Formats: sequence, C-alpha cells, structure tokens
Amino acid sequence: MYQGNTLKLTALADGVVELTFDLQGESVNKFNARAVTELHEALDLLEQHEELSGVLITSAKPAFMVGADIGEFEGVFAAGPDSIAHYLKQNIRNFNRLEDLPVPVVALMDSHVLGGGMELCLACDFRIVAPGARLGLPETTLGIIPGWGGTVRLPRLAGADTAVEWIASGRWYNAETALKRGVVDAVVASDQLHAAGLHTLAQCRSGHLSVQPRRDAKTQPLKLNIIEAGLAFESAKGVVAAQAGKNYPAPLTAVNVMQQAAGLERDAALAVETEAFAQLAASATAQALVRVFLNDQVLARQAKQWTKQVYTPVQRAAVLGAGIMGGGIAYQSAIKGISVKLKDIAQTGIDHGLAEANRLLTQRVERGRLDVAAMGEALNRIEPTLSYDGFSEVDMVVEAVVERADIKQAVLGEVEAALPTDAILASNTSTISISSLAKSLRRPENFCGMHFFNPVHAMPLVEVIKGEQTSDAAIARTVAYAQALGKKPVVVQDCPGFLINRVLFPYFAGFATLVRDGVDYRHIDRVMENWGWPMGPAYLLDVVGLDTALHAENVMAQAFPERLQRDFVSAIELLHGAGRLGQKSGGGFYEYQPGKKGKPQKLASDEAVSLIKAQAGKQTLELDDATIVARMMVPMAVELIRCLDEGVVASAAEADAALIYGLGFPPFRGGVLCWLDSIGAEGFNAMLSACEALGPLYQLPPEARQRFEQSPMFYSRAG
Amino acid sequence: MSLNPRDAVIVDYARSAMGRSKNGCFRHTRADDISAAVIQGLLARHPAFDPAEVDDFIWGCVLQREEQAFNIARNIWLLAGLPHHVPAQTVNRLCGSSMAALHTATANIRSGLGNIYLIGGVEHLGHLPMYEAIDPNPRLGLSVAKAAGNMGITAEYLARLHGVQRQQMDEFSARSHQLAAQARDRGAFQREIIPVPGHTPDGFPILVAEDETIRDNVTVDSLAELKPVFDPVNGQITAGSSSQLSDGASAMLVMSAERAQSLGLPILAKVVSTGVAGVDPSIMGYGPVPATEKALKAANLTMDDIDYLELNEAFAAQALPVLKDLGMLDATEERFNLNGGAIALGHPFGCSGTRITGSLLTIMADKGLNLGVATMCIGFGQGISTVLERLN
Repeated sequence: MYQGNTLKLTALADGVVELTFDLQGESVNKFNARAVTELHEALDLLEQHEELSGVLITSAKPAFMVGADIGEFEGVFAAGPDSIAHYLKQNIRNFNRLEDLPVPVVALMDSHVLGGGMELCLACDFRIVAPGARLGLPETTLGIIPGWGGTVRLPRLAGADTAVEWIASGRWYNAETALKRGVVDAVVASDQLHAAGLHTLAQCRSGHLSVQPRRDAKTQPLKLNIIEAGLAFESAKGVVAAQAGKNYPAPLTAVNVMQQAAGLERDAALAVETEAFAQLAASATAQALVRVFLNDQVLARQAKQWTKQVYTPVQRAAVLGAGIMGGGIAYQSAIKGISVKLKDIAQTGIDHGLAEANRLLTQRVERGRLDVAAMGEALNRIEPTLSYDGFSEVDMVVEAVVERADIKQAVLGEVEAALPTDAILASNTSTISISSLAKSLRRPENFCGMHFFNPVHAMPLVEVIKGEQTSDAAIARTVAYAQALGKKPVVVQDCPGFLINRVLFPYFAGFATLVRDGVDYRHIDRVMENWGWPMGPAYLLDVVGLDTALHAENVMAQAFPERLQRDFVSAIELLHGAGRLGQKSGGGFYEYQPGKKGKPQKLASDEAVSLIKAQAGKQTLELDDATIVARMMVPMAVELIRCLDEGVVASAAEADAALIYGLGFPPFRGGVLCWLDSIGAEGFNAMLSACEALGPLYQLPPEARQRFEQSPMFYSRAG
Repeated sequence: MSLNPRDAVIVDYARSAMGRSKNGCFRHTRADDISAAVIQGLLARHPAFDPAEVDDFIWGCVLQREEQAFNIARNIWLLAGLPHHVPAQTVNRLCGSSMAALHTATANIRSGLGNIYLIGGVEHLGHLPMYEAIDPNPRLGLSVAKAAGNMGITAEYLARLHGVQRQQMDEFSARSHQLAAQARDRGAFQREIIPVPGHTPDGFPILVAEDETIRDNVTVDSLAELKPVFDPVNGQITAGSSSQLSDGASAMLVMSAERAQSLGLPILAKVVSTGVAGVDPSIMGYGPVPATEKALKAANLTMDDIDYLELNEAFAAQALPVLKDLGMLDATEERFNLNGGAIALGHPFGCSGTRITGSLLTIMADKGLNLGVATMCIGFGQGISTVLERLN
C-alpha cells in the first residue's frame, strides 16, 4: 500500500493493515524527520481506507524503535524554542491521529521500545511485547522530557506514580514489569506476536475487547482527585529532586509537567509538555547531555572499528598481580564469563585477590542481582596460580603488578616467554610509558597498555594505549577484551600519564598551588563539588591514596617539568610525611571511619588542617568560587587541548567521553571541551588571561592560544 | 412472601469466570483487579444506583498476604475508582469468608446500622499458594490433631467415618463437571459471569467470560484412574474428587428491603436466616450440617421446607456425608448443585461464599423455587449456612 524509506503499509486479510517500521540502511529503527513525514503520509492513507478494520504496528527489525534520532537534536535544539516546538508538533499530530483512528490499533514489539518508540506505542490501543522486550522513556537522561505525549499518556494509562518513576528515572524496564504496571497488555513469545495482534483485532471486531475506555482514559484528565494528585506529585518531587540533584533539572520538570497537566484533557496536556520540552531542550544542560550521548556513540563506533578486525574473542585471560587492580580485573572477567588465571608471586596475594572477588560477588547476590549458582560459576572461572604453568593456552594477559618500571619490565619479560606467540600482553600501568616498557620484550608488537580505573568493577573507562611498536591487531584484541568486560575502551597514544592522568595531574597541581597560597582545601572541595565533580580534589586524592598520587606525580613531573615541577612542599607531601596516606590508612585530608554500608564515612580532620596550616599558614587566601574553578580547571583544559593537538586522543568526542567515564567529570557539562564550547571564546580567554601569571601550567602554547582567541569551538553545531 | 422494611434483600449478584490456578487465564491478573472488574460490572448494571450510598464494602479473602494483603477490600474499592468516603473491610472465615460478609451485612441491616452493602470475596490461589507463609502452633496438638490442618486428610477421615466409597466420590465428581458443562452450554452462567481481562494460554489478551475449570471429557471411568493425592497409600480422594484450585471473585449487592424499594431496584431474594457452627476440626467437612440446622431453627424451618440446596463441593468425600445427613440424597428428584459445584468450577476460598449463594439464586429463579439454602464447610471445624427466600 505504501513503501517509504522508514516504514511501509501492507494490507492483510479482513481489512487489517500492518504498518511496519524498517529504516533503510540502519540496524535499528529511529524516529528521524523522514519517519515523521512518512508516518504522516501513512496516516493519510489509513484515514482514507474505507474497509479498514484494524492496524498492527510492527518492526522489521528485532529492536522495535530506539526513539528519536538524537543526531538530529543538536540542530533543532540550537534553533530555539519555536523551532523545537515545531519539530515536536508534527509527530504529536501524528500520534493523535493514530490514537483517533476509527479502528483499533495494536503495537507489537519484539525488543527495544524506547523514547519516541515508546510514545508511539502509548498512542496505540493495545501493546503486546515479546519476553525480551525492554521499554523505557530515557529522555530525562538527555536533559529533556518525553515530547511526543509520553508525559501525557503514561500517567493516564498506568497512573501518576508509575509515570513519575519511569520518566524521572529514565530507566529501561523488562516485559514482565511492564505487564505488571499495566504499561503493556500482554507478553507473548516472539514468534506469536503477529498472531496475538491479529487475535486482539479479531476480539475487538467481535466486541469481546473494546478500545473506547482505553482511549477515554488516555484523552481525559487524570482520575486522581485534587487531594490525591497533590500528594502523588508533591511526594514525588522530593524523591525525584533528591535523586536527580540540582544540576539535572529534567526529571523534576517532568514531574511538574505531569502535575500541571493532571487536570487537563489530552490536547491541553500536550501543550504543557511541549512548552516545557522546548525550554529544557534549549538549555545548556540538555545540549551537554545530548553531547554525552553522541560522544558515547562515537566511542562505541571507534571501538567497533577496531573489533571488526578481531575474529576470535578472548577465550582465556590471565592477570598478573592479585592486588586491588589485578583482583578487580579477574573479578570483572569472571562475572562476564571469561575464564581467567590470577597469578601472583605469593599465596597471600592470591588470597587477597580471591577474597575481593568473593566480596564483590556476595554483594551482588545480596542485592538480588546474581543467584548463588552463578556466583559459584563466576568463582570457578578464576584460576589462582603461583606459576606460569598453562600460560601457553592464554590469549590475553593483563599485567597489574606494582607501578615500578623495573619490576614491570622483569615480569613482562617472564610472562612473554610462557605465552604463545600470538597472545596479547597488556600492562595496566597508570603512568609508565608503554614504548619504554616494550623495550625488554621480544614481541613488542603484541604489547600495549590497558589502563583500568579503581574500582575496576565500577569505573566504565579503560584506556588502551598504543606504544610505538604496538600492532593494530594487539589494540584490536585489547579493545575487544575491554568490551567483553563491559567497559568503554578509548584508544590513546603513548605518553606519560596517557590521557586521563595526563590531564588529572595538572588539575592536582592547580589544587596544590591554591592550597600553597592559603586557600582552605575543604572550601576548594566544596566549590568543585558544587561545580559538579562527584568528589573535590582533596577527597579524590584521599581515595586515590596520597602515596600513589605522589609517586605518579613524580613520574609526571619528570616528563613535563615545565608545567608540573613544584618548587614548594605540597600538602600531599606534608600529609604523606605524617603517615596520612588517605582512605587506605584511615586518614588523609579527611578522617575515614567505617560507614553503615561498608562505604567509609568521611569526617573533618583537625590534624590535617593544622598540619597544612602550620606549613603554609602564614597567609589565608579567600578567593571567589569562579576564581577557584578557573585555577582548578584551566590546567586540566590546557593539558587536554595539548593532548588533542598532539594526537594523544583522536577526537574531542573521545576526550570528553573519557573524562566522564574515567574521572567522573560532571556529565551535565558534557566534558571539558563541551564546557569550553558552552562558555565560549570570550569566557575561556578571560580565564586564561586571569591565570596567565601563575605560570606555564595555566598557559596554552602560543599557536593554540591564537586559535582560541577566534573561537574555542570543539564541536561543530551541525552535529 | 411478606417483606419487613428491615429485611436484608439481595438486589444483584455476579462473579468472574473461574480461572485455573496453574497457568490459568488469570495468571497475569491480580486478585484486586479481578475483584474490581466484577464490582464495576455489577454496578454498571444499575446505572441509576449511586455507589456513594454504600454503607460498607465487605470482602472475603483468606490468604491476606502479598497482593491480597493490607485490607484488600479497601484496595479493590479504590482501584475501581469508587468514592473515597465509602469504607471497606476484609473478612476472613476461611472458606466461609464471603458468606460471612453476607451475614454481617444482613445483621447490620436488620439492626438498623446501615442500609446498603456491597459484599463478596476473592482468592487468587495461583498467585498465593495455600500453605505458604503460615506457622501453626505446634502446641495446638494438645487439643487438636495436627492433620486437621490438612483439609484433604480431614475429608478422607470423614469419608471413612461415614463409609463413603471411591466409586461414589467419582460419580459425584463426574456429575459436577457434566452439570456445569451443560449449564455453560445452555448459557445458564451468563446471568452470573462478568467478563474480566485475562490471557489465553499463548498470552493473548482477552476478556474471560467462561469458566476455565470445567472439563468436558470427565467420566466416572476417567476419574477412577486418578491416584489419591492426600493419602497415597490408603486414601480415596483424588484431584478429580476435590474442589479445584482456582482464581476468581464474586459479589452481591445487599440492601434493606425499604431502601431497595425506594431506589426502585429489583429484589431477588431476602435473607431468611443465617447460621454458623463449629465441629471437631478433624471432621471440618461436616460443618454444613450443624450450621444449616442452626439457620433453619432460627427461621422455624426444617429441611422438609427447603426446595433446594447449594453446597460447596470442597470434596466429594465431604459433600456426600453432608447431603446424606441433610436428607438430600433420599429424594427421587435431585435438589442440589444442579449447575455443578466447586469440583467443576473451583474453590477460590474467599470467593466461594457469595459464588454459591449466587448459584443458588440462579437455580431458584430458573426453577421458580421458593426456599433455598447455601452452605459450606470451613477449615479447622466450622460450617456456615444461609437460608434464602426468593421473591416473585
């Protein structure tokens, strides 16, 4: 009946028409501008079809619909609220027309039903899914709200509380939960979906099922009376605001929109949604979060480029050194189904590593996220060993021994001899140059860096570091292994500190200078946490460990003396000298006590404060928040721009994504480069000028400075 | 028949179809959803009646945990979108729960405490298995046999005391299925059943309008092949001669005669008398006999006055001694459970009291009968009984 680029209409028996989404040239369906136009045209045909008795909505791909085409957002959002409202209205009209068809409409969904795809289904009369389906409205995670009627139809269909939970969390829900919540009407085997749809339409034709009460519910005001609506929304606001935090306004806006529209009929309620959507979408936060999403896709695409070359996935891994990092990597392998040898030189090390894996697995079992049999299987996948016996069957080794070049070189040489020639060897070093470590190896082409972050199970990023002699095949296998571990790999070129520590230590240097100048480190933490960091710099240093930080700082200072060589005793050194090593020793900048859920509780430390004051205490400097932020962030930004210019990281997208996944850089700012774009050339130049006198740490190379006097745009707006 | 203004009268009754508890049509439909659909359907038959006038919503339910926890009656009322100022309570007299709700409504109406009661009950034995999450006191053994807690064992015991044979049980059970199938085929249940959303075996969404529990192919011979379930060695009771585990709800609108008349609502029957009685827990299945005697005595009646009996078929082994001692097996014409009973329709505990009372009303209307009794046995040694008089 109709064949478009994104969807088609097929006439079936008994006046039933099937509308099938099938976006050409893509693996998933997206609601792009073309699909919106074609749905409009398809609806024209359906409305004119005189014998029409019912409509099935299906997908030719396993994933029903992953939502709007987020790649289109940037252009639309940047054009301002009017353009945004116009963009929304076309599909809002489509969905209303679908909901108002004189015949029943059944949506059949095999797997992903997200965002705009979910909103399409909500406009249908019946929703039937396969058991593997995942449904959700993740818009708030992009800093926006559902804009095609999601905030209108979901609360009217499933109740305000379910709608608040689904929309404010942005989570995906499984089929069973969706059925229980009344979001879908049935869960049937994948190969029964079509039959279920036809059966449902037949039941409607024979009068056994009726659509009118369903449509009434979706088009009328919420059934909650004023008192009930008051508590439903007011109680939700407290919870949602606390969960989202002040930097993420979208979830709370969604609740407000649903509350404002509670007493309205469909079209008026949709207008409330559109207005709020347009305001949010025009905000810097939404643009940053959309950037985060797109950058994540870039990261995934880059990884795919590499893994395309890998024909055999890693079957049998090995980890050398059963310390915190080694134990964490072994655990992560085991939980992801990859057998792993855990090699240490001492039984106590092995015991410690296994105990850590056991602790993490037990935690998962206690949270109901793993059953006992699966825990046993995971533990069985870790094979502890004190020797290299059996390493001839290993195809991927991660070395995670102490961060000393001489020891690492010795261990790497040893293990290389025990490995088959095509095995890949990676070093989990945080700072030591990969090319220099490769010098002791016979097959340097099979060697690269694989830098995990602590704690391994929780931190998404893995830096895969390409040394001078590293082959593409080694990078490809390592990237594939990182992905198999559920991590987000970013490939970077070799340099001291690689990408993350290279930009982190200038930030710490900025911190050291501020403290030297008499700024209270607790105040710096408060300002930076307020700016969006999950932890301020002092707190972060305590978590990293002051001994580890000091050691890495030395390596970095040797590599970049102009910017990182100190001429004063830093607060880290003072505390380290007093035996305060951070969280691991019970105290650093702060004191730590065991907390309720095993998470150490952070307390103020008089000792640390007086130690630092005694040394640097001749002066107390009070700076405004913006100055503190500039003095912390400019060194990081400057170093990141250097990395980009030197080709340490291939693109702004990968750089920003890596900072979010590796350092916890606040996502609502999109990344350091996205943040620079948002403050603009003028803002950044003003910061640079204000900090210039503080030294090379705060200065861009002249040619870069010149470039950024024109414009600091790292991302082109067209997207 | 004469009506006193304070007589409790039944204005309407309804039930859901009965779903099998094991992977049945209501496996995705909750107890409160089934209940809400039934009361919405019942109220929809009387658009002029304002549910805001209900004095109390009383719902029977036995396994008050999980989805049936926390005063399910109130939850059902709210779920149905009915006026918030109407109160609700859940009652539990095990299998007699919804009949107990009818008795409470009757007592309140007679005493002038209220005029309008929506009552009924529900059980979802598929979602809430019977013997989970209970903790009987081991010291109950000082006065009661522990086995009294197992209904099937008490029925075996009762059958042995009364000399009931396996053959009789199977005949009784086959009759239940055959009569229920016939009743369904001639549309006798249409008056009772309100369609409720459910799912086909493949999971397709449907409105369930027919009992899923009735088996068309049941014969005495096929039942004879089943193995005993409660006492595998010496027992006689099989799954086929026991009430089925099922999911369902039933409801009844009860009023004072004067209010029903002033609202212009039909009066189907009046509650003549009620009775509850205790027996030894180990022969709980015998409870209907003393309970019915009590109810009859309260109305100065005897079984000779009664045209028809609706008895909850907990087990054929228990129904047969009860029918015998109530004199219902002596008559040449069958005068009980003519549309089948719980063996064919199932026994969702909280639901059954008003379900069998409604079944009684259906038959009395069909046959133009005057006086009838609905009665049932109750675990741990009780019986409950209601005498109804139909209004012409």
